[in-house]
Amino acid sequence: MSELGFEGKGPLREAWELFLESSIGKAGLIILSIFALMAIFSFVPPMIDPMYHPMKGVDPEITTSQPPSLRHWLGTDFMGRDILSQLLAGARVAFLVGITAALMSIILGTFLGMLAGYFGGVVDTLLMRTADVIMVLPTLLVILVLASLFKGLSIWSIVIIIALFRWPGVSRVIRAQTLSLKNRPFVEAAKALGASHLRIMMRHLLPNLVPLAFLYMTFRVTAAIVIEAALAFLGFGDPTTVSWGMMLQWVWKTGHMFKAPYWLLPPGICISLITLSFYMIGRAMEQVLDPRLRKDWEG
Amino acid sequence: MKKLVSIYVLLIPLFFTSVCYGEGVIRIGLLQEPKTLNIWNATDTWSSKVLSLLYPTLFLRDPDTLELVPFLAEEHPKLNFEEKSYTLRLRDLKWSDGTPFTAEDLLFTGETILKYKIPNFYNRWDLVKKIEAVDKRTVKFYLNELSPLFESRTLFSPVVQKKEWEPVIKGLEGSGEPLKVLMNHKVKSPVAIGPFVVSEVKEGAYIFLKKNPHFPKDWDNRYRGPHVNGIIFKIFGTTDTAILELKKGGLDYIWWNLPEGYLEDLSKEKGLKIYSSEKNALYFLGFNLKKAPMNDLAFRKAVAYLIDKEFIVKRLLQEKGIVMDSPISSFNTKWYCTNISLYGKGMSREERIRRAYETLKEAGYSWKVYPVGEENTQRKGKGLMDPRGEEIKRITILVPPADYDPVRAMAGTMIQEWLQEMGIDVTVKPMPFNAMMDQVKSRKEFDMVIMGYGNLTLDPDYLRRFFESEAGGHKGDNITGYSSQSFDQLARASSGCMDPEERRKIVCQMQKILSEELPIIPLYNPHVIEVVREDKFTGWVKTLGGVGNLWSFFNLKPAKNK
Repeated sequence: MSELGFEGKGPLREAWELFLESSIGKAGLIILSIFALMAIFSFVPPMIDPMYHPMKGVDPEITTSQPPSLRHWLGTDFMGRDILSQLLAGARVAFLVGITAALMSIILGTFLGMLAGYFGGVVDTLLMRTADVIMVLPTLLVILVLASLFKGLSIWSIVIIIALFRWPGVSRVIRAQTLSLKNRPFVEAAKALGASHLRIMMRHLLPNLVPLAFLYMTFRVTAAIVIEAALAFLGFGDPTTVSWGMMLQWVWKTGHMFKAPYWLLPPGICISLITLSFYMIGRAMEQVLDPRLRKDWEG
Repeated sequence: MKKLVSIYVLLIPLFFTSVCYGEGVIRIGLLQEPKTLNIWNATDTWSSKVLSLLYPTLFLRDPDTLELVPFLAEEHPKLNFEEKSYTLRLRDLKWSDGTPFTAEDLLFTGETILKYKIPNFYNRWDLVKKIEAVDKRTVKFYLNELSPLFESRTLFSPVVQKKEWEPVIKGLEGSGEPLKVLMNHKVKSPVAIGPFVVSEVKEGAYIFLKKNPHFPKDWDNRYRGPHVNGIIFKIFGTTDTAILELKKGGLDYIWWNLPEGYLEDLSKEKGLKIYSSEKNALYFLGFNLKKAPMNDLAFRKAVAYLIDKEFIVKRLLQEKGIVMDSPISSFNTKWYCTNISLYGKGMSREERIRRAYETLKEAGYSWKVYPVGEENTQRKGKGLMDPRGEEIKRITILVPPADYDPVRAMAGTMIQEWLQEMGIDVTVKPMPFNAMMDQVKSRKEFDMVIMGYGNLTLDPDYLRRFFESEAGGHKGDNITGYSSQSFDQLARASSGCMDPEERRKIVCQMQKILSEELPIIPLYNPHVIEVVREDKFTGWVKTLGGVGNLWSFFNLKPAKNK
């Protein structure tokens, strides 16, 4: 029997069926799929015409910000670049930043949480106090200070910094789960058979921790996307990347904030919707993992 | 941290908008709080703007002709060729505390600047060997060598009151770092010689200047002001909040350049007027000539072909500016010359790529993927290799962040894209302005940089400062490390040449050399775009640099129909 309590069908299939029973999860998945399609199709516009290149492509006939038209479905920015192409490219960046940063923070948080929970004692104290210190630091403010110190940040350094600041929450939950798992009979049995610490952690604990880690990943993706957008909006983003935050900064800095809603709203709405979709998926996954929450939608 | 302070500063004016200073007080928005009221340390734009109304210079430039007009001086200086001296008669004026303005004040100012080598002013006085007071209102300047720069530099020096500053200077004796102490001296209410004097300062919120009661009303035939009773400077953190305040009627003038995006909306507002004025600026791409491949003229020429300046002016500046082909702006007809080399002017992108490709190929460069095929077909180049066959490492273009200067940041990104088409591995790196200046000017650790000088003198002597070999040292203005014997000789000849015709010829030769050797690629000179409430005050005087000038503040009158 699996730790999740699934019998008969494979645990993944069982989980997927449960997930699909959640309307919030389905809605989240649909929205996320739309964004995934946007990211995939972001490569298409520049192939149609170089003027649809999100960064350097400009409409030769347009030199100012123009409202939506047949040629530019969402209008153009201040120098005649296509806003739709930028929005599609922004989806790609959002996935890149969100998923990479979240994955990194989850891997870090899972391993450190597992180490702390499994070994306890000094290792636990050291790791958890470090986690406490990082947890209380205001992430955005610290990243702004780091951006000033390192004199500008690239998209990858932003991803790494977000990951470094977002592992403690995960590690706390993973540690708690490890503490509960390490005294279970199957772990005791492994120890009795002479399994090494590494083997116990990798073969017996980790597989039982992964579903929980993935649940937290969905929430971390949300945080990473919002942080990147905030950084770009405040002028600390990577100027060589067309992200939604960067689009918002261009609207603001060129003085179009109050006069070009067709330029201001799309990136803002996309940031809200993509974070909402990850949040909804996270909620549904939470219900899959915790039968007590599942009752709500069954009843 | 700076952002948080900005947000805090941005909110403060909301609590003070109801402060009432009576009729005839003009309300002006500043983006940041002036750093100091100590004239010696006023290196930031905002302090300089406020202090320019308290400490006008000996001469001003006529708003229309840009010729010298005596201000603190009574008339033009008399030149004595044999003595290498200028004699200057001062106007009969009074300081804001009622004491007379005398030659002693000017003497004291000059001697202080020369003795302590005050960074902000020293280069205006370093031509002067000795100053002496002939009588109470006449001063004689003895120069090391006769130079046309005396008129464009020393005569544009402000003057401080001896009575106010003498005790401070005496206090410096025995101090280990007198210059530092002088610069950090706190000044709350400077004794002024200009039309206004500081009345009240509320840190983080506003500065109130009232009319200097001792300022004469009839100093100029055209502008007999000031007619306003005072000026209140309000501090705003962002352009958006200042514009909202202006629309609400709580502000009469925003004293900084507005992005073009605001103009359409503002032009529809009743009572507002937008001024677009030329300024004498230079925005350029600078190369570090101490590093490869930037030290190769062929590489620099290829970059020059690839940069579409017309695109930058048309798209990024929205035609609110001009393309620069020389470090001297084309509107400065007295000194701008047309005998210079131009790169890619009027060419299409394909032509630019072809010319850049040919230039590099002729110089021995090669590619992993050639940007131009056998039948002139073009594609994205990759892996540019120098004539020795070594791949060129990634080149970084430093730019200020979009937050500081969106046009420069965006121009950097566009240049990066254009250079990448040619297979040059280049990336743009935005950097906080001070850090960028430190890296470029002090440490000279950069590949390329987009820099701007926003307020240059009309006299072309800055060419000498920016490109003379001697200025290439630590913190020198020659950031590129350019060194040319022939240029140095011309630069020296130019600064000592008293014949304007002869000097123009020399300056033309200097421009020609710079256009051929390309230590920098001049990019653009933006216009200053400002907005005022004409329904509250009328009489703004438009001149080089915008309407925020002394002439305006003399001429402004409350609008009759308000």
